[in-house]
Amino acid sequence: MTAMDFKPVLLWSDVLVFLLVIALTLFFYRLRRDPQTRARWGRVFSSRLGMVTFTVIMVYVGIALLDSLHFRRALPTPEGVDTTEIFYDNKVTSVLDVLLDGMGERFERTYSAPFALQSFEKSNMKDEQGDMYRGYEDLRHAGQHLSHPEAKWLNVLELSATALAWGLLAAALVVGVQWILLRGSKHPWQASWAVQTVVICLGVWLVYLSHYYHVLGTDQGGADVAYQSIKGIRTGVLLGTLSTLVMLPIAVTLGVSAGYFKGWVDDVVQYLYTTLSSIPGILLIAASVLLFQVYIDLNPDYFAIGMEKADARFIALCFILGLTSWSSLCRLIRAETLKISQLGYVQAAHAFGVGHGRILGRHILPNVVHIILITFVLDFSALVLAEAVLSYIGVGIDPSMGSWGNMINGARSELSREPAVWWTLTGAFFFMFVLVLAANLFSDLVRDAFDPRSALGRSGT
Amino acid sequence: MSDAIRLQVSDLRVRVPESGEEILKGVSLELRAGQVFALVGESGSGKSVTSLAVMRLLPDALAITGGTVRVPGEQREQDLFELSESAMQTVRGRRVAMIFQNAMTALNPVQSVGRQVAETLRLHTRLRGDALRQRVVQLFAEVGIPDPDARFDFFPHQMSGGQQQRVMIAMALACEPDILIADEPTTALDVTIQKQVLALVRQLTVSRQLAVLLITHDMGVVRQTADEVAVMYRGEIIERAPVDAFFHNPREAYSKRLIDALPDLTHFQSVAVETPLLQLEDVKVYFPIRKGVLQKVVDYTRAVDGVSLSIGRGETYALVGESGSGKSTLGRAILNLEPLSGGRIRFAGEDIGGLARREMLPYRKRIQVIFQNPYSSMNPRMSVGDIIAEGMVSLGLGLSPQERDERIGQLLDRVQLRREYSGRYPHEFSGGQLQRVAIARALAVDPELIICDEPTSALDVSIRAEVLDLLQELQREFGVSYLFITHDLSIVPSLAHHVGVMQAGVLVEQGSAEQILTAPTHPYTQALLASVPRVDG
Repeated sequence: MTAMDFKPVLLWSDVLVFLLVIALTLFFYRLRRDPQTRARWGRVFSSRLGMVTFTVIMVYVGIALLDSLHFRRALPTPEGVDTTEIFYDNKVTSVLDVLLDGMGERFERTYSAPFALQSFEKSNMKDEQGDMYRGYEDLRHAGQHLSHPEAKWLNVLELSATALAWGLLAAALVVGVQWILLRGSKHPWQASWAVQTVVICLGVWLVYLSHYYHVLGTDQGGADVAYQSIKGIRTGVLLGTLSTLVMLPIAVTLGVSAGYFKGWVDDVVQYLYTTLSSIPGILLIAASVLLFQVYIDLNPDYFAIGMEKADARFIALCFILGLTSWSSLCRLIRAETLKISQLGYVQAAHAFGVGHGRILGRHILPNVVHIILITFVLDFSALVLAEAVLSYIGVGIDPSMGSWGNMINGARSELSREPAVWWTLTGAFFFMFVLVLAANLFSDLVRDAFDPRSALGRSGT
Repeated sequence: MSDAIRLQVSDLRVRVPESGEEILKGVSLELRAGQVFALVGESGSGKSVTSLAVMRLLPDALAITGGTVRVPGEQREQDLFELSESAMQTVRGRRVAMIFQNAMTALNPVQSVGRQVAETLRLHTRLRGDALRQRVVQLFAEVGIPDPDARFDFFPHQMSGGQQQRVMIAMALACEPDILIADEPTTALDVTIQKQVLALVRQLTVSRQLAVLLITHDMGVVRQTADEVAVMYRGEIIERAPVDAFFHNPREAYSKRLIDALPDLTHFQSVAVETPLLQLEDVKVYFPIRKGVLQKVVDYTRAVDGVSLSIGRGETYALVGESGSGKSTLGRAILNLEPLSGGRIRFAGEDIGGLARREMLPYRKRIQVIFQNPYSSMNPRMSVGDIIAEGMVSLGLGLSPQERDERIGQLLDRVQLRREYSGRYPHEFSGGQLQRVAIARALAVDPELIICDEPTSALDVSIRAEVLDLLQELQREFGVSYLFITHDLSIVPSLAHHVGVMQAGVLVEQGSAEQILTAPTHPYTQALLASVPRVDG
């Protein structure tokens, strides 16, 4: 082995994610300078609920970012082959996989229930005499350390206690550092710290116990459900943000120009969005995704590894979702711009001979930002749910890429079995539920703070 | 004053429970049958809170902390604050009725006005069917709605503002109340209609022996309608007197200021010989009416239909008219914010009508504008300094940032605001202060003409006078001309040299202020003038 034993892989979606993080940081940094905006964000974060939901969202975003640092491991040089060339694993690993400590590599043969020691289904086995019989196979990666199967639950408790101790220690470290830095802050950081403690303890517990058991069981292919649910986070978060960001520039540009320039510009934009919104959304998306799939299949040499193919389809899906869902935001922005462009300050700017560009940039855009922000957070959760729907009907994310939609799609037949396989659905549902709930609650708070009709935004009469 | 007391409020106190702030500090008044009691004060003085507290309709953020409201009951006196909520509801419908400022929002737009009044009657009386309709038509006739039988089936949007207010009054009278609470009933109406509605209230007070609580900020309304006046200031009644005594002998300095805001028709601006700065010749602004799929132009709305006038240097020209007369559109057309359909606009001898955006730029510096609503005429996301600087930057006055800051400071000084305010944002200011900022913004580019589009109609009476004084001072100092667009004739005498009266897009009469206000010839001007309230009644 040489010094270089991994090779970074930059998928297109990774590039977009990091660009996005940079752009958002800059955006919020700029927003901070406006005291009114700062006061509004201050209101969002002065409530416990705001802190809690924001922390939850940040945990999801953090996991998504860790899962976006991809690399390929070097394969050990086969014996007897004398070459300096290094071959890399075809499988792309992410930093998150490393942190999960091999959680995704412990495969079973097929279904197993949470904390089970044996497979969920019978299979052909040989007894000591070599005779074939049907029975429940022992799992390869669960309970190997146990001497007696009966001691399982006691063992789980012991392991949990150890994990909890480690988790609390880690949480104390993380929270302690923040406590030193943020002691004087007037925001309710305690709420955030409580969430962080819970998340860290849960995370440590999950990783620790995964060495000994499948905490959420395994799916039909024998893959760990907990691992898959966590991998679904990146897909969900990215899809939500990327699609919204594809949609925003279109909606904002068209909406603002329609409302400001009126006349034929307005006519064109209106015809565009009425046409678009008269086509059933799901059909349009399905057709576009299928078209793109054909393109991928016809041009296999563009994609070096399977992951890149899945990634291309994922990005295409983001763009398609974004391109088909801008009409409602566009309509809102158009209406708001129509209203603002009749207001005194825009008229006064005209009277001062201020150019169109400057009026749009200084007077109109800053005053529709609240709509954009509110829509961003509201649409985010809608898009995460849309992914689940699309994957369910088979035009969503590539099955090789973990996503909640695919998990739910897989779970529909499992639920009709007796006894039912409930854990795949539960895992996906739990992770999605927490994200969507946090995003919805957070967007409610953002809307309350930024809606001009609410208390802080003093409306002129 | 011997008439029966219909409602007696004593020592009414209201607080904001959260902050402990006292909104009403012990208000006492009594309403008598056949009399109008006027509660006067500026916005925020607590007059509407008083009426809502009496009806126990306060928003949740406020709480009544003390006092009594007594009404004579069938057997004995009742205290409204001791009644149950359901007993209170009968009081609200039967004994006490309310009418509000904005009739358009108080009426349901998808139900005919007759049915809305009938609905109230159905709730409180046994009338049904034809009898019900008869009663509504009778009420409509009583409040002076012409052709009441046909109007029964009209929808609110088919009626004018004055008629809508009449419908509201009919609805209030439907259940034969003893007490009528009118909260700024005419503020949203034009002056000529205001006069008619007030006359109606006055007449109903006498004919039905109502006890009326009239809430208003307009001293003219008080003069015309009230029997007794109470002036409210910061939650207290500071002066109370019969109306004649009040107007001839106000005790408090604050009351004096309110009365002084009424026009004085004896002193006018002297008309000097001046050189014309702005001349309009037969200016027309038409808005196309489009119909059909292809948006074909079928007709035009003639917003301004052939207006000619001339404004001299250092002169104020007041353009007076009711809402919809086209006066604001004319102002916008002079600013080149509205395309001309015909006529010529000459500014300092040069034709500026219909110039392209770029060609207009040199003139932008010389013609400026101040709008009606100070809140909406400032970008809420820009600091006051940036707002004032905008014109200087975009018109390229060639100032360095230091010079610009210095100039902003000077301007703020000039409009009597503090220099430190330049870093603040519009929402931190009151309406009067914002209007000063708007004046500073207009002055920033040294204009020769400022178009003032109702600059004081959103302001309280006492602040209005300050802003008008400031405008006049600036005129003397800088020799700037004003085109003063207003619906309020009462501010004209002290301000304008010339007056033009507009009706339906046409200038019906113009001349010197003295001539128009003392000897109007056009019937419309006469009607307008007759509805201007005066101190001498």
